[in-house]
Amino acid sequence: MEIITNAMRQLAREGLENGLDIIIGWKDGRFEWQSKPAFITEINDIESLNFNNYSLKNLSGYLLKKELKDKKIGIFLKGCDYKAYKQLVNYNQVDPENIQIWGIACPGLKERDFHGNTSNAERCQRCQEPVPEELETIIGKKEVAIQNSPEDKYQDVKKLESLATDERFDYWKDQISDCIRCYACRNTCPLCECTTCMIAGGDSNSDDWIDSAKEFSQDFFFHSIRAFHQAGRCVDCGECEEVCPVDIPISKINNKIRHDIENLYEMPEVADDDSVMGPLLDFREDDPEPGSKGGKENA
Amino acid sequence: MLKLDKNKLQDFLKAIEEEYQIQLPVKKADQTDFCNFEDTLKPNKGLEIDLNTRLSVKSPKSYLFPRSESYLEFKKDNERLDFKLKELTGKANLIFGIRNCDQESFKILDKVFLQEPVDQLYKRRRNSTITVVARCLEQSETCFCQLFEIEPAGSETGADLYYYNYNDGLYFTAGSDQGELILSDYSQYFKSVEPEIEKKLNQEANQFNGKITADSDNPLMQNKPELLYDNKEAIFNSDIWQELANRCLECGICTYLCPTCHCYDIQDYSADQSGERYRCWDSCLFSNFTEMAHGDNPREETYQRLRQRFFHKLVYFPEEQEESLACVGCGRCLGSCPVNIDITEVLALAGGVIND
Ligand code: SF4
Ligand code: SF4
Ligand code: SF4
Ligand code: SF4
Ligand code: SF4
Repeated sequence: MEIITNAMRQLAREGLENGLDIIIGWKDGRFEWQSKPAFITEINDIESLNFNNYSLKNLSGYLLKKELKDKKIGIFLKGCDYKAYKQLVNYNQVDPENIQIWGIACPGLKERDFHGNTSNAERCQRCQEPVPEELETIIGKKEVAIQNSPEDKYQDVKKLESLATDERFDYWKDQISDCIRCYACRNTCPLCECTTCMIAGGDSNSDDWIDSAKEFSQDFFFHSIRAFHQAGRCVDCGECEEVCPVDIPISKINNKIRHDIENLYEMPEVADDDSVMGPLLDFREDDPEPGSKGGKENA
Repeated sequence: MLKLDKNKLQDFLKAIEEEYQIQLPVKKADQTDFCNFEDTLKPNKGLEIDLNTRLSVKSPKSYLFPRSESYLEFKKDNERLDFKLKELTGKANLIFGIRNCDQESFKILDKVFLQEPVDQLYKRRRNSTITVVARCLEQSETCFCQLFEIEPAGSETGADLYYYNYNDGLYFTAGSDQGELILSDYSQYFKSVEPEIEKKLNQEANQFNGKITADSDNPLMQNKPELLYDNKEAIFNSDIWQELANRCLECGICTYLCPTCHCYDIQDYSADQSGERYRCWDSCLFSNFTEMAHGDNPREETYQRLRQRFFHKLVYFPEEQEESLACVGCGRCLGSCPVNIDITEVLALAGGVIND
């Protein structure tokens, strides 16, 4: 961590000296188990940058902030953050010309639950690309152990798939009923990039498409529609699940869809460049249709 | 003071369940939150009563001011439009094991909703709610209730019952007539308490309640909450808000978990010929919160909305309500904001503005 922190400060300093307007990194939070995004514009503040065991926050989403449009930005991205960044470029949401990226070879981070127990972050347990290899500058030790194999990362999904339909429904009903619809999951997601969300108005409360009423049906709509809109975009950075104050296992929904996309449509989990259309845009006549009568069965 | 043996707790709760709908802190997976007592009796639900964890994830304000509450039904009948007010049915709510910070937050909500014009939806719930406070004799690292002159070990009034959670028992005292009544109606569950134990508990409580001003080491209590009120102009116009707004996700976490936040919206769900009107929580952090029908928005920028949240708690509310501050130091914002924006950080930054 210290190596990363020192390199981060060094690069930030050079960046500001060479004309960048703002550096986006991390600094320590109030407690040892916290870390928060840092926006540095003055050389004097560089020493506050710190990469610690809890620097999970995916910073790439901040590139969408309207206040940052047209600024020259330097930003630090871990493996998962970088995957999200690439998607933003694919979807023409950011202009790479204005952005200097420094990669972080991520050693795997920690998370702390409500009761204060810490463990390896779940997203890190699933992560296959902790090092953003494609980048020119990468800080930290590049040899990072992958915690789980590509198939093992779907353990949770497979466990759910093995349940009967009504058991699965009960499981999700129980989970989703806890949602308070604070929309933090959506707001933090780097790939929920719409400026006006079709499922829930401007930012939040709106009766456009779903009701703000605390009804299971409405909570369920919110989650299922968001999951479908993320199909082929979600990079499993784990941000949404991380921020959720009531611990809804959102990643399990997204990962179920990702697993199906890989298996049924033989597509990469996320498109690597814009020549590959996402699963919601690409249509082939022999596409399997596991949900409909006569369609090809679930693989 | 009366003692309820912990191993009799379930029987006691089952007995009072005849009269009340009981809500209490329950451990579910990795969290602790208020739940219906009934649900803890169902096997397979994996819910376990948790009287040890200091604070619940969400504040219990939702029992007075629900996440959403449908209150009016309307129906079109030929040329007529019929309205029907929805009654509140069922037993009174008894909230068991809330902490004193949350109990004190109810006083703040009362100021908002029970002054003229009285909010009838709130009032009917408030009048059918009984609270049982778990006295704190220790703090969590995120607690700073004393900064707001709230006594963690509880005062004598406010709640209907108070208890100490000590060794194998819960040691009760009443805070209201209603509380007295519960202690006498269900006296078969309670035993008398040895004077030494009563003395010891009261002493500890006094010490803990009084520790407040002496505690200058706690990093959360370094700045007086009156700071904003006393220097409103300088702080209002300072650039601390922009710095915070850079990070803010404009989600509803801080406002929805906060026991004193109370903003709401009124909406309808309507089908062709009928519908319902409900009110639901809203948040000053949402960009459309102050958006006008004609499109203008007096708080267009994130920093303005963020500033509103803290100015409301520490400046506008005390201006309206005889200097009462609208924060109870429960620390939920400290633990739950995904980017660590909390009221103590705001006070620290504001302190910096003043000392510069
Ligand atoms: S962050 Fe959690 S509680 Fe908030 S809207 Fe998303 S799923 Fe619901
Ligand atoms: S849906 Fe969740 S995991 Fe997927 S990209 Fe968005 S925040 Fe990351
Ligand atoms: S803030 Fe005070 S009253 Fe609330 S839980 Fe902590 S110590 Fe108890
Ligand atoms: S302060 Fe934190 S919890 Fe509140 S809206 Fe901003 S990011 Fe969300
Ligand atoms: S502002 Fe924070 S500490 Fe104060 S009452 Fe709200 S959640 Fe609790």
